[in-house]
This record gives sequence, structure tokens and C-alpha cells, in this order.
Amino acid sequence: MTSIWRTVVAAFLIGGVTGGARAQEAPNVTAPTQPPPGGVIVRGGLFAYVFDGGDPAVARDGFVVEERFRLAIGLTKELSIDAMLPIFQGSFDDPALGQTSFDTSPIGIGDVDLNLKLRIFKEDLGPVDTIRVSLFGGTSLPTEVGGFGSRSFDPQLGVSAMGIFGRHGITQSLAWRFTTAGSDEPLFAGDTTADVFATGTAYLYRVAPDEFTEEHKGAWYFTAELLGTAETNGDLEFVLAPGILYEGPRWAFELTVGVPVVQNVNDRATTSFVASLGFRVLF
Amino acid sequence: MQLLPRALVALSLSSLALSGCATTPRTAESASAPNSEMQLRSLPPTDDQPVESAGATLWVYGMSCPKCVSNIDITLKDLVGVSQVQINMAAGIVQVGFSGERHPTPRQLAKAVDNAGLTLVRMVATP
Repeated sequence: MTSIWRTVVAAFLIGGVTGGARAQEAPNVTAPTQPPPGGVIVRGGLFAYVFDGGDPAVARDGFVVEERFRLAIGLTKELSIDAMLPIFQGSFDDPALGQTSFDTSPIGIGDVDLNLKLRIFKEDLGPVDTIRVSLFGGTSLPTEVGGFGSRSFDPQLGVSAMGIFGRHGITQSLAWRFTTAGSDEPLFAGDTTADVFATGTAYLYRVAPDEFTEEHKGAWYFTAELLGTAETNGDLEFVLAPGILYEGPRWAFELTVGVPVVQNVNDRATTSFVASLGFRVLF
Repeated sequence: MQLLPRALVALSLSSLALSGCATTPRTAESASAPNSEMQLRSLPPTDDQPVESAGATLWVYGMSCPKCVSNIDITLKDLVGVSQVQINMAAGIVQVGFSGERHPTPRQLAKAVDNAGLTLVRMVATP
């Protein structure tokens, strides 16, 4: 087994053991959900990115695996703090090794994200129906090791809204990230010195059960997410990511695949495919 | 082709607006309750006297997912005297059973629901 695949398997196992369940929320879009006061949620996620066809002058083609560890702590019933540590390993084409040779990087750490989330609106309309809105803001910390980040403080501000009406749920997040430094080999939006406007739209449909009863302890959802980034250098990308989510009282499983539907990226690597896998457990 | 990015941005913005769109909220009075339970004593959520009965029935809004059920299950079972929690998500009804000498107060029950991020609509003592 190659190094990159050993990393994939190890990351999945680690994520599976340490993940934490949250409320009905889409896999990738920031939702206005948070733990109760004093509550701690640990969540893991495994992402695989394929970069292909970008400008060879600014980025190489390759394959990157990211394992995200998230820790959320409820400070009050409306306020929580959220930290996210990304761990990466990548394999990139290396012209020095030949046309089809890839150079696998050692495991690297990205810039840790630290955010506060403040719920500013909650209206529970029925036994299942609810509307919630939160503001979130924070910064990345210069923790990067191994080239997967910009090792800088990049503040961000955002808003997230969620509405759940029977079997249908919709979540929308908008965020602005002020980028203060760039990465040597930019892969993701925000890795250059350009600021980023990020949008996330998610639709969740509860496939089963039709109606919750005392017997139903879990639910299956179809998820569809549209993840967009617009950077001040003109780069624009929207990724459409359908998936499935199973959520039980104590654990959840989610799987999404994403492909770009709009891509005008000239200053960093271009994503051709992304997949994410999460197995979350509530302790 | 220039239209597509604009359309996607418009879609994102409009969904943000739509997700904040409120429907008519149901009131506490409209929460369905079996006739027999209508005869039971209402528990004011600010009452600090321990509930004397063997249990309580809570009408709760916002239990939109199985995880929310876990949240309220955990916060209620953290209370001294709560021995059993039974939840019907579709109806929004939470049955709480008490045991031991010390029972929780209505205020503690209400706070547990609040801490779970949910809305307490009504609470009655059950025999």
C-alpha cells in the first residue's frame, strides 16, 4: 500500500473514532448549531481533493487528503467557540521526476481556525420546524507545517441561517475572509493573498422516515450542497456536492462527492473532484 | 456563460433570505394534547417547588433531528430525580419519569430544555 493510501485509511480510522455528532446539519456548510453550555463536541472529517488542469506556472496537479479535527465548546446557550485543525498529505506531479511521476509530501498541518459562534435568532415553529441564525467570526492561526497553508492570521466574519420545515432543511452561510499572507504553492481559496468571499448553500431532504415516531431512532437524508468562493484576485469557483447523511441519536455518517460547476481559477490549483467522508460519534 | 456565476450567487443570496422566512408559529394553546392530559396540573416554568408527581409531560418545539432528541435526553437525565425520558419527535412530546426522594423543579426542567437549544411550549405533571 502506498504512503498516501495508508494516510487515507489511518485518517478515516482516526476520524471515525473521534468524530462527534451535531444537529441536522450539512456536511460542509457552516450551520447555526452549537453545543449546550459546557458541552463539548468533537468532530472529524476526511476530505480527498484531486487537482488537475491548473496553470502549471502557479500550481501543480496532484491529490491531497485532508483530515479535519473540530472541537466545539458551548460557552453560554447562545455562544460557542470552535477550533478546527486540518492535517494534510499530498501527492503532486513533479516535472523533475518525469511526466507521470508524483512526489508524495510528508504529513503537514494547516493553519488552525478559531471561531466564535453567536446565535442571534431562534424561532421554533413546531415539534420539528425551526429557524436559526448565527454570526461567526474568528481567525486562522499561523500553525502551518509542511506547506499546506499560509502561516498567518487571517480573520473572518460570517453569518449562517438554517430553516427546517418537516422533511426539508435549508442552510445558507456567507463569510468574508481577510487574507494577510499567501502560501508558496496555493491550493485552496484563501491560499493566495486575495481576500475570499465564501458562500455555502445546503438542502437536506429527509428520505426516511416520513414521520418520526417513538420507534424511529435515526434518519436518512439526501444532501445537496453548493460551495462557492469568490476571491478579490478574480478567481471564482462553485462546487456542487450531493451526498447522503445518516443521523442517529449518538452517531452520524455522511458521504459527499463534489465537482466544480463554475470554475474561473487562475492563481491557484484547480479542483477537479472532491470527496468527503465523516463518521461521527457523540460521547 | 457569464450568467451562470451570477445566477449561482443570486441563488445563494436568495436561499439565505428564504431560510429566514418564518411561517406562522403555533402557540402553546394549539399544542395538541390528549383530553385526559388536559385535566392534569400545568407546571409554570418559573416554579421552584419540586414536582410532586411521578413524572411530567413536556411539549417541546424544535426537535428537528435525532441528535436534538439526544441533546434533550442528556440535559434532562442530568437532573437529579429524572430516571426516564421518552420522546415522540413528531408530536413534540417528552415524557419524563421521576424516582427517588428528590424530584426536579419545573424551573430546572424548563432550563434543561432551554440548554438543549429547544423551546418549551407547555409542561404538565403526570401521575
